[in-house]
Amino acid sequence: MISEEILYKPVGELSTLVRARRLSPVELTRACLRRIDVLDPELHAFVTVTRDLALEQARQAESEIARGRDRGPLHGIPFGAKDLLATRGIRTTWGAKPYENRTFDHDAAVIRRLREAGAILLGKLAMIELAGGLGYSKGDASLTGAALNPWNRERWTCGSSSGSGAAVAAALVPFAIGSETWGSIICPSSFCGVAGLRPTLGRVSRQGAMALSWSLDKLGPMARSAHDCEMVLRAIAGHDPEDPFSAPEPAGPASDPATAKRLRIGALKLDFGKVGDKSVGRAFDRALQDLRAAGLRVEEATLPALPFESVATVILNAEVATAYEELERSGDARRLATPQAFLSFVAARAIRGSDVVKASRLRTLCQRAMADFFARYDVLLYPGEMSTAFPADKDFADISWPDPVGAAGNLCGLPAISVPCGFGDDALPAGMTAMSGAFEEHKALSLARFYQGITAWHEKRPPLRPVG
Amino acid sequence: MKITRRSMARLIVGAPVAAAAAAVLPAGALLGARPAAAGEEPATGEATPEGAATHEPEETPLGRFLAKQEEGLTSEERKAVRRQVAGLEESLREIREHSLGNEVPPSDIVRALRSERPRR
Repeated sequence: MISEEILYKPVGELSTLVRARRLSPVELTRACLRRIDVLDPELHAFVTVTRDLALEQARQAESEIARGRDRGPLHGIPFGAKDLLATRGIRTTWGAKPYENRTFDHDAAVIRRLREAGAILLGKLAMIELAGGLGYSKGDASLTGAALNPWNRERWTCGSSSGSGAAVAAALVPFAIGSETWGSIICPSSFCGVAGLRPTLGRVSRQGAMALSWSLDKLGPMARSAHDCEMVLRAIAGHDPEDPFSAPEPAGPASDPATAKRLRIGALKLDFGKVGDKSVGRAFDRALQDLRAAGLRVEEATLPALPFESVATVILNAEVATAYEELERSGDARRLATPQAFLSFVAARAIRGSDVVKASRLRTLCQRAMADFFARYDVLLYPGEMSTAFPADKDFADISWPDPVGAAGNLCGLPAISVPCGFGDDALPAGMTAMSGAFEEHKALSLARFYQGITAWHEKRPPLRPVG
Repeated sequence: MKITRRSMARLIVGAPVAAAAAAVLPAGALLGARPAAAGEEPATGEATPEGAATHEPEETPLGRFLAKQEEGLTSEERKAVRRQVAGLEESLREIREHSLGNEVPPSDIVRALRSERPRR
């Protein structure tokens, strides 16, 4: 019987055990499946559990490792994939009723790469319908209802990578793949107290993934630690001509926490006096104090004065309106869980062609300004979310939900990682986000790993009942 | 108190914020990967985008355009569309007013695509 202690171990440690043949991939997979059976009915993290496939892949990994074949650190490690990644022969719903029974005949590039790395697919993870592409106002805007937060099942996980956040936090999977267009990895990572990495646009191929916004979508890992995220990133990153936005960039250096003291670090000071949860502000301030006490120099930074949010909004709206054209034409948009989602197509008609071109030109300015910013700083720190997880049944219209830096980071395609940095007064996780320049994931990762080396927030576990 | 994503930008202490006008809806709300705050109404005293709330919808070019687009919608749906457009218009106005010189190209890069011919 594999204990909860093992299931909460980071990928790096699991990998060491698996490769040393001290932990059986088959037993590990069975333990994850058992945990999913017991806990998922309360969390709603999975859309589909791929039990037979997982056991088959686990047996294959075990056999290969026994024969001395080593596919790398993910060999024999189970994972879950957000249900917007195509999986051959397994339904891919995009979290949306109109696609409830849709099955592709191919795997997405990320699924293929993880299979080649020897990872074991446990299932497809819940998500907000269409990754929030046509708007939503409640956490239950999903084919599978609201994913619930393992730290408190009356709270939401955030979206749109809802199941990815819940599954990692509850140790149903050692790692998960999520996606972010604007906040969909950083927010659930923050709310669920896990590490989540949004890679640079173009770092990870989106071939076979649902397109929400071609110029904003990113796929990335969510896991127990920054180091785990890096290991997964290395397996899924790389140029892919099948994704026209894929960048022919080298992998980049590995992160090194020992270099953190040489990083030029900026921090955004947010005013929690007007909005947000002050206890989240205190958690972030303590994180900065911890970093300074450990010898890092962190100075206050300000973002360039540019209309990041407006530009991102126009580009996103324009791209979304065409991305889901088939739903508009067929009338299937009216079958979504969000009753007025189809109205987004009507509203988007207010955008002129010249607006889209102007937004694209302004994006050039924004990218240049952020490139200059990251010539001065290696890493920018900020609280990815200014509050802890919302009540699961709350209408967002009643909640302040700021995202001060998300527009700039996503518009400019910049990488960021969220790691837990403490708890709010409601005993729910708070997150600190580290953003770095394009294709400089290693800098944000070095800082995040350094922080996780001096703190233990990432080792905290949610209060879930024991799984026998 | 409802605070929007855009007005939140002003809460970054010391950050110069380009947006002068207050937004009435979360800018990412319309269709964003983040949720729509569908029920938000303009706060008292805040600027109201043209064609949104202070004008009769059909009085403006946008209003006339929308009236045509909204054919077949219920009055509740029409209201929802106009709330969404109000948020979007704020973003559109900001980018339309932003002055750009001829030297700034779009961020999209179009690469000529080579023909792939079968080997002879």
